[in-house]
Amino acid sequence: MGIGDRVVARPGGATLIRYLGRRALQAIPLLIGIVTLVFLILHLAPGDPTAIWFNPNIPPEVLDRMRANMGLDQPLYVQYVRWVKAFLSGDFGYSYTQFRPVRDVIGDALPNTLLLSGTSLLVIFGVGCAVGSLQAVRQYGPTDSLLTFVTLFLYSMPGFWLGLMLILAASTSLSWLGLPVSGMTSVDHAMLGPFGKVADVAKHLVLPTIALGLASAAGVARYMRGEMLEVIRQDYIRTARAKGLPERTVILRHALRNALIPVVSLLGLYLPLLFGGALVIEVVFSWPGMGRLMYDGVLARDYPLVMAASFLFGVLVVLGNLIADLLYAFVDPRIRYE
Amino acid sequence: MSRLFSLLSVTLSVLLLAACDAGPPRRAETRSDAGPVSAEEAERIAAEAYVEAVVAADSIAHDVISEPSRYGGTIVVAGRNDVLTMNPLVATDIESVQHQAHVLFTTLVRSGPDFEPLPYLAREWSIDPEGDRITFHLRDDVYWHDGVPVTARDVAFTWQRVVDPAVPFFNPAYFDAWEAVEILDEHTVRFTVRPRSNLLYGWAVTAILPEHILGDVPPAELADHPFGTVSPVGSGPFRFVERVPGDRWVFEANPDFPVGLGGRPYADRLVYRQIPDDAVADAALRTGEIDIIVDANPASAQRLSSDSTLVVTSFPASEYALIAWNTRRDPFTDPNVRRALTLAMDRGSIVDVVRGPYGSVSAGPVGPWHWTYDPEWEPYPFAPDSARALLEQAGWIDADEDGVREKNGVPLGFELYFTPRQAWMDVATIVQANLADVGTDVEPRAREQASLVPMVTSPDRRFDAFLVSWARDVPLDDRDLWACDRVDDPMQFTGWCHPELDAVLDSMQFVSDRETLRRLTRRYEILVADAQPYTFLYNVETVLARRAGLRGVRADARGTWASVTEWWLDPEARR
Amino acid sequence: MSKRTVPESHSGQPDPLDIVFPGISALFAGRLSGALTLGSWLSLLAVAWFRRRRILDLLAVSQWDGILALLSLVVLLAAIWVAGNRGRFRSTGLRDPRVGRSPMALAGRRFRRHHQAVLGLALLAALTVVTLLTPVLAPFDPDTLNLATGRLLAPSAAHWMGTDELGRDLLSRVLYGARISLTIGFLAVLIAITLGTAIGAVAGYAGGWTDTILMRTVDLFLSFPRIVLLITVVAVFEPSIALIVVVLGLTGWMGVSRLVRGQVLSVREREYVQAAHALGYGPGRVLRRHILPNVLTPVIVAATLGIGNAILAEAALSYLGLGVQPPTASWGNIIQSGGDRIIDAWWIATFPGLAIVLTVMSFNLVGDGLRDALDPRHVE
Repeated sequence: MGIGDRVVARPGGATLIRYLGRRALQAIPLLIGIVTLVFLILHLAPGDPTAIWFNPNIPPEVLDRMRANMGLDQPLYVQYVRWVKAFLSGDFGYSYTQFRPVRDVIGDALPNTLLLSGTSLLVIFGVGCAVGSLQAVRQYGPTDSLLTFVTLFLYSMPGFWLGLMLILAASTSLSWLGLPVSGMTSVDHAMLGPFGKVADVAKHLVLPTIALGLASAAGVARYMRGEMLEVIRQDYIRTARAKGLPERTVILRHALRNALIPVVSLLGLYLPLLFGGALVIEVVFSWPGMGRLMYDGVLARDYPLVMAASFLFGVLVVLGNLIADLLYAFVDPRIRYE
Repeated sequence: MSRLFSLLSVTLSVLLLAACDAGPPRRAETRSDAGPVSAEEAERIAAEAYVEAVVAADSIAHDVISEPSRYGGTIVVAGRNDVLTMNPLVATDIESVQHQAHVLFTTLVRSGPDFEPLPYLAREWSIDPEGDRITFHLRDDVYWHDGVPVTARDVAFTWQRVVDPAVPFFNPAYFDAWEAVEILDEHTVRFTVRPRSNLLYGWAVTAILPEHILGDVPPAELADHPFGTVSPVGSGPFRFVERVPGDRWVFEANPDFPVGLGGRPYADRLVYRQIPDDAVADAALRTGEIDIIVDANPASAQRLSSDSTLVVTSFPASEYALIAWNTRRDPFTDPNVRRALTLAMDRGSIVDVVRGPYGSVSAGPVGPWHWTYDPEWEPYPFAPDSARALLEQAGWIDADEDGVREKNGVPLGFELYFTPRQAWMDVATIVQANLADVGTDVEPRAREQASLVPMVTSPDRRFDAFLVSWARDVPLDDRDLWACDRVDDPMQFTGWCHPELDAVLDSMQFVSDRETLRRLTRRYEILVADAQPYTFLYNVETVLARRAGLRGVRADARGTWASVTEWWLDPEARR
Repeated sequence: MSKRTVPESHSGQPDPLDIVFPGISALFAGRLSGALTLGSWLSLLAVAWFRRRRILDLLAVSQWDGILALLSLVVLLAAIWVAGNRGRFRSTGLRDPRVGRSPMALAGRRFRRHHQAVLGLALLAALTVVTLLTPVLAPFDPDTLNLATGRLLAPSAAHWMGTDELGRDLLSRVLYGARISLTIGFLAVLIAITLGTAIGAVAGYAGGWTDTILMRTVDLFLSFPRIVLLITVVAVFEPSIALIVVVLGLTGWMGVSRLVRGQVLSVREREYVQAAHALGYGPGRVLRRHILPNVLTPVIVAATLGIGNAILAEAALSYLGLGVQPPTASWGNIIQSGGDRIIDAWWIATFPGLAIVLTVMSFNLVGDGLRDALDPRHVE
């Protein structure tokens, strides 16, 4: 049983615990594999962390000293073992580029990525399902045709390009909206009250979320439309209508719920994509998240940082799939645990 | 007293600025296709008029807005690179070093406009008649921000750490003439020194560290110590408030900063924000979210200067760009080929494209920022015909008329490496076009820095040519680049050396007479210009873009931050 | 109302004329979509004829991307043919979608479906023609610099898309970039499809431990932070078009493998496969001749949609600096150079992005159309 396989399960006590335990156990070799692969690949790449300090002012002895301090003069397996030992005791090491504990560096960046990805997820599925259902209900009408074109257009768009266009608009013709085009907080963030701070972050969240979420929302809309149409054709919908239920109840209570089931399975697919896709958006909007952290980290060969971030990425993907599978089981009453 | 001092320094800086705008010409006369002389003259006049207008506006503001009302407000500064640490023993990036020296800490001395040492933490100093001992008398009114006084122990401690080989201080060569230290009393410290030119320069850029906080930290743990990134304690005009990594550093004015050193800075708060994206920084400047961009993109600077609420100024930085040739490989073994390639490059256009008006064609390792700079020393002209003649002379002939020269069956071509910066891509593309005109095939190759550095620094030098820029220092200690007895050292990319150059560079480090230094520097330039192991592309001018309401910004090669205590905001420009 | 016959006559057989030239009978029946299909055919042929000498010249001295443009043209023609003759490929549907719908809705649906796919095909045809004829169509050389007077010019009559920071005409660069992007898209998908089909088929067919191991590998790849791999691979090997193709191919096969595995699993238990086993055919033969042909349908759809995704991925890579390196023009790296100047010179980043959108849109339209044509159970 793995990611993407249909979870035949019923939510309930001991079975749930056992199931979770099994999934956790299965995740361990996966994570070990990821981390080891990342280690090997990173050290395979030419260069080392001192390469960013390339400057005739800095004599080679200083760089050698830095390398020794980082333990880079040791053989590869020694470094690996040292890293694993430290890792298992919870010490992720110090970032070579930021002179801070990796735990702090990631601790600062992770919530930002989660915030961006989480909000985008809401947009993707909220907007996507709403638009898809609307299209299904108004099939072949002008709304449907227009939205089909729009979703197709958005779905075919590179996210980072949409981001750039949004920046352009927000800086010129839409500048009256006052939407900030970079970062997560504004200058005087520290001096705002609690509501002010939330509003500040929310304002900064608008453009990146749109850029990150809109293309995928279009994809979900297309998928949802198909699923809704399939559901609407079913007998029980006809029965509900025949029973004289108002159309709204028919759609919202019966059709939507059943159409949502396969859409939920998309959730598991989107989570790793979100963390990966967030990288480019984070670069475009200078969002201080994990994607940018990893990107800068690999370029600077900041081994401790990249290792820890990759591990975390793997954990997030596993968690994401687990949540998706559980949600799927929860939503579909036909499913049983195996 | 402090007001008078501030007024004096402000007036001085205004006068200096006014004197400075008639500096070295911004463009060299290297373009063979330059437009009519009057157009260029017109541009230069317009540029000078702009600078005069800026100075005039500032001086009016200085006159109109009285001293006391200059205090207050938060100045927000944006830069492309983050300040990584406040620990000078581990910092290697320029932003960190500048912040340490000018914002958070005090240095023993400061650099004057000609890089002569001026008193700062050291009230005065005296050199023994034999010339081998120097005694500093420190001020007694400087305190660490936690209340402990700054003493000679801190100075001695700083020096000991800096010269310790286990500490990765980025340039111990600053102090290679400083041999021993002796603490005489709380505020007097004596060093044993050897003769050296620019002897005190190292002290002008190295922040003094608190011995009572860092004294017990073993050198290997310095890099990770929270002092650098979480809780620095300084003694300078600004106090540390907070840091949000990757985003900003916040400082506040130190009210106890000695009046004799200028007193507390005008601004209540100083915020440094890292904004790596130029468009975003520009937008933030326009909306007033930030007050000044300290390393503005030249392309956007021209757009910004048309906005009347913004002021764009520049100063010659110590940075220059070059192409390094691997003289161990054909075709670069032949100096005539190197000269020909330099003649074939339209460096004037390169400057225009990459830096706009904020750069000049470089004639050698000494740029307009250095006091030995000689405006009469001209770079190679742009002369493709001479280039072709030289190549023909060197035996490179296009026998098969395919546009690329050959010699003994080998085509004239090479790979040009550079890091993936937009500016480098543009330079490489222009160089490719220029050299194609003279029958040379150039292939631009972008490589990320971590891959490129091992290629160029390893002894087997796996490259033909690469593009790079770096900033130098007042001592112009380029021995690492050219020393004949160390040709396999990492920084000896080209493999070219010259015994006379070795002697010249060595002497440069020990001569203190300025005239002699000038002549030696000239000799350095002549030797390098003749052999062209590098093609020097251009000198960089740092561009500052600020809101008109931010005044007192006087920046030069000593660093953008050298005048930070004098920056003040118009009362109505404050947030 | 004029007689509107569908290409499939009531007997279910396609009109003979359509086998040769899809759309022709629809044209005679007066349908817009048929006209579009036919129009794209004719325009392709016309352009090819009038520029035949130039085309032959190009092919003679062309680099491999010109040849690939030709290949893509062939594939496109094949796709048009398949779509036009989809009646031949449709197996008996499990459910007749026409039951229970009004004739208007029915007609509307078929019209629209057909219309969309044909629009996509027409766009693709235009794109392929443009790609093939880029040296003819491009007004300027994409690499000629114009530093003195031509830098950063806004779109105008002389330069329809303006110029970039070195004075190069943007329209020409976008046109040449199309070649690069399409080439990369096609080849990357080719690799991904081949790899994914092989792995998915083996996993689905063999089952047991092989299946588990292979699917675990898929999970590993999916959970792996690709940026680490990408940057390192690009650093170790030199960034080139071949490298990007390989990288995109090797990171894009996972979805296909799952798809194929699912299909193989469902087909494996069918009677004809059991029969093949009973007859003693080896696994290789069973896979090749009985299973794969039936799972190819969704794979073809995935391939078409995958090309669009590959183009988007290449754009993202080039934007990050890991893809096609300047001065070779690719849509992604033009956007990257325009990103810094987005406010000054909006045209540099905007037009390549629009090109990407149009291209990917047409691939998506064609993919959707193919899915409708080839998969009877898919309800539109």
